[in-house]
Amino acid sequence: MIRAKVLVVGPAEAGKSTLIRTLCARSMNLAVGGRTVALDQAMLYQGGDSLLVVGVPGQPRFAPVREALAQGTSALVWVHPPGSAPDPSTVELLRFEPLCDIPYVVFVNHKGVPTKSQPFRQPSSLPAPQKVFEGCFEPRGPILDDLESILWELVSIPEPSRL
Amino acid sequence: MAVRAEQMQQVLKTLVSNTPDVEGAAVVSVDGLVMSSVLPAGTDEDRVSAMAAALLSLGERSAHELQRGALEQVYVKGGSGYIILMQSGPEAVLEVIAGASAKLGMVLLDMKRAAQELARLV
Repeated sequence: MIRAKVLVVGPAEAGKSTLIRTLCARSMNLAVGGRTVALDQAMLYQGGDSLLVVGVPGQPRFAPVREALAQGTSALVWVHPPGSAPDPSTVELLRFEPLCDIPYVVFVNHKGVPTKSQPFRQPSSLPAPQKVFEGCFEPRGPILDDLESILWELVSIPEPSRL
Repeated sequence: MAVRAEQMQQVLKTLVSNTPDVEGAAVVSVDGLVMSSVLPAGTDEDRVSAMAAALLSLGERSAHELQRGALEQVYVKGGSGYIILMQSGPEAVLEVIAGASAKLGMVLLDMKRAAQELARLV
């Protein structure tokens, strides 16, 4: 039986809350004025397995909240706005314990706006992502089914094999 | 604006100096920005403010989910003392840190008065 935690990271306004809401209709968002100040939370289920999905607040001043939420993470989704440089706060979060050895995928979120594709620029200080998705979250389509599948795969890998 | 900031600072200073074992206080916007603070030297007020907003938000949702009514206080006890958060009007939170030997009833009473004063200034 799997019981694991997936952390959704990325800069403010990247679409982390939208992703979580689209992945699971029964999600919770703790926000003030539309900006997440504490966390997003949702549960995904597959047979007897469960995946806790937690979204972090993206604004730089919430770094201590992100650090607290990072504990116990098994896999990461990095939501990234298209065409922009990797967010320094996210890179910093992923460089150190407890996230530095955690497998991650990147989702370049176009937010429904057709955007000329620009490849995700992987920071040299981080290992390569397991996969880079590109598209939009809403309405839920095959791309989110693929994302959910890969998350289940990532949390199923025994920890020593990830390194 | 500057006058209001000075007034807020004065309310916090009075709270810290008049309430035994209160070691610091800050008024923070509900989205985690510090408005005024009287905190011990070396405290990173930006980090403290962000955490206060997150705690308040979690407290509000917990009270709602568990049908405890509108949130009045969030209370954290560590080995060396207390952190207490109290809503100060709809836009702000009063945060107080107090030593382990603080008389909580007195602290809460003084905080309530300060929160009411601050709510008029926010």
